[in-house]
Amino acid sequence: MTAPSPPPIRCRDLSVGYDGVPVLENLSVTVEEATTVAIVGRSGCGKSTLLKTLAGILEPLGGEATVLGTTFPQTPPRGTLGYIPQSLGLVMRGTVLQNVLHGTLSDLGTVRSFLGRFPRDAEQEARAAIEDVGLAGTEQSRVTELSGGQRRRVAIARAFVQRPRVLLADEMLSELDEETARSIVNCLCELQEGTGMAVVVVEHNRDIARAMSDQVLHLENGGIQERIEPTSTNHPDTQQNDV
Amino acid sequence: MSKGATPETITSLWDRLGTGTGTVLLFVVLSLAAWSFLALNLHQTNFSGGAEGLGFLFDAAIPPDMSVLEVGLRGLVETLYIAYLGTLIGVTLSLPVSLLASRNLFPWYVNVPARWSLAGLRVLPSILWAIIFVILVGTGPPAGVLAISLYTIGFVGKLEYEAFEGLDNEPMEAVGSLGASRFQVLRFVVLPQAVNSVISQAVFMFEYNVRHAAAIGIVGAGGIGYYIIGYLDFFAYDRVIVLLGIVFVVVVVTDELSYRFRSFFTGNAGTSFGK
Repeated sequence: MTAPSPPPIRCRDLSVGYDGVPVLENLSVTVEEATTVAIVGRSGCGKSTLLKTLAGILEPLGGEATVLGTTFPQTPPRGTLGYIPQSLGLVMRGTVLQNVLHGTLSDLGTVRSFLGRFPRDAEQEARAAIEDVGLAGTEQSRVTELSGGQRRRVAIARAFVQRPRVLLADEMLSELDEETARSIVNCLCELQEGTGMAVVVVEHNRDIARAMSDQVLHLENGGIQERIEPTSTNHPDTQQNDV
Repeated sequence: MSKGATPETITSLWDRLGTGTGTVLLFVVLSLAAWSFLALNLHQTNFSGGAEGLGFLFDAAIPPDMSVLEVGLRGLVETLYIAYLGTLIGVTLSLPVSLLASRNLFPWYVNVPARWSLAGLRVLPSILWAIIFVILVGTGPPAGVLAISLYTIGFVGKLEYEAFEGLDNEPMEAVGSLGASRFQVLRFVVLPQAVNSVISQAVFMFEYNVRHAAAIGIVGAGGIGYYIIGYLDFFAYDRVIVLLGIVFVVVVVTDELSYRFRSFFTGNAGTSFGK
């Protein structure tokens, strides 16, 4: 009998912030495989800071954040973590295809990296990811030529293309129309079913957060104010409309 | 983001000029100027012989001896070769060093030595590097190319790491957290974002090096300066003035071409005051 695998994300008494000043303190959160946790809260409450800490960009100020069995300053194995920052972090001078291909860099060797040559299968996967987010036909367009919503979809395709085991997405669905948002969520669900991906999303819209997640964390006053489990049958939030 | 004088801080300094702090600042600036003037004994300078000297120079240089034009053009071409090769070698070698020198890309124990190396190369102007290389490899263009290359590494390297430090960090963080190695982040995120700035700096450096390649010939490092100093030694001012004229025309043309070329890459077609 094998021991159950540890959860992809586990935070114990985690404190996060900038320059030694905590924004959130003593957070304890566990995200299991194939589940989605949505983080809601007012602007400036520390949602993005928490996500950056989980992504390994910021050092925790206290406590412990274990992502795929590693804690800061160690990083999860290459290609297992997907991160979509709030400002998207796209290379604006690059094309859509080039930006999505950046999601496959963990598999690219040094010589190919030096030459800037991606293997054909990586390019096919990138094209498929672009199609999945509804941007087929824009592969050679510069990111600067796209609308805000289209750029967001490029960042989503870049994170999806490597089929990560953990996805951290900061306001992934903002600027998207309802139909596109729905198709992105469907795409996310399919990926989650296929890979068991654990997802943490920061979301401003509470209805969307409830609809797409297994647990909603409401952050306020430097900590978790409320934990909501929309799928729980005895919780009033179950009555909310799906997106 | 790199810290420095932003339009906001400049405006706030300008606004402070009317206040007590501004008055003190103005007093300090003017006092230092007066001190420097007195320390150099500039007030005792005798300008009375200047007009006479100018008259002598005019008589000796006019009319210009145009027979030296062919020699001048040959020297000019050599100067352009030195400037081009020196710039190309210098910019190419400066790139890896300036990446290492960027605070947002590498830790302090990497970027501090890299910055010191670049600063060390900037300590000597290209003409002093030329003297060193004339001693090491002898007179002629090779000394000029080496001098220009070395100074270019130090000078353009500083401009480059400042450009890298001014880049948006989010794409680097995003691609890095997706599993890209540091080299891949440099190759696929940093350089594509900074390429226009690097090209613009390389063109500016070429323009700068054309002027300096003309000057380093004076110490024997090839180019048109080599001929200028040769004619100066024989007081052939009528020939020197032709060569200086050639340098002047080339500097003006290079300056204009460089401006247009850089505008193309930076997207800054011109400055519009008063709009």
